[in-house]
Amino acid sequence: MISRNRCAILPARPVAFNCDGHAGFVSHASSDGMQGTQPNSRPLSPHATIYRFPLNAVLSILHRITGVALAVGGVLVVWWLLAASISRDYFRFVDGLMTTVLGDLVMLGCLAALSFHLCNGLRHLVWDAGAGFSDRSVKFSAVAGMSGTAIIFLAFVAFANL
Amino acid sequence: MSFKTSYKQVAGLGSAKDGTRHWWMMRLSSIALVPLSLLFIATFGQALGSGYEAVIETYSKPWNALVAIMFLLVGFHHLRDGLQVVIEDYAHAKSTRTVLLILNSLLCWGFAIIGIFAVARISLLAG
Repeated sequence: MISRNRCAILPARPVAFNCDGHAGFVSHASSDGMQGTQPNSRPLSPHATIYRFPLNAVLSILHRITGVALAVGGVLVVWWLLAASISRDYFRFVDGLMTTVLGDLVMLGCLAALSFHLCNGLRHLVWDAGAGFSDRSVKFSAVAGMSGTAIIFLAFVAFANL
Repeated sequence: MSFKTSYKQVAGLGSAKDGTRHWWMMRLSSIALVPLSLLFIATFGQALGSGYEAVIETYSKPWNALVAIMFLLVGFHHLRDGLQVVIEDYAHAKSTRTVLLILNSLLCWGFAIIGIFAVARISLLAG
């Protein structure tokens, strides 16, 4: 990751490609006639378009996205429960909507979101307790959290009525 | 332009009456939701698509109904607190922010109570 985002070695003299591998600043120092103009071959700060987010940053953004997405799941679950409490016909309508292919995809998405939000939330609880801040711990818990997400998701998919 | 510091702007106006409550409730609810969400989706995943009679039977059992009610209560409280932070982060205009925060609270409490009512009605009528 470091080698991609930063330049470990600065070129000794201007080169045609800068550190990001982009076709860069070809040296015209001797031909542009401007004294003191140095071609910029220094590494530039991360380009937003090619900057690779660290894994932990991606998980952090996903935590918020899955949290907001679960609002949709919550509303659907309440609608479904309300329908079951009102009448057989109304329940059949709502349950039918939620078990169409699109409905299944939405509910599976909600299950995936909940699995992730749960596992990543556990990481936050550990951090709130003041532990797990070292680089090694953060990387380990990131992988552990993603594994837990997959396990919870697959376990519930296996037992669901699909 | 005001040269007052943010401290000076609030000094003497009394406390915000909230303190660390939001932070603490978020942690409390997330701890409670670890078992509650797993228990709820274990029941819900089975019931979804299993037909009207099966669903009524599932939620007429006290244990399933209680798990569902607790999950809805704590879950929507957690959702309200979480969405509040998202709104505060992204809605900068004071009017928009206030309207969204009010809607967020009203809708989250509304859906929680509708869901709890539904489970209670199924459970009590069937029993």
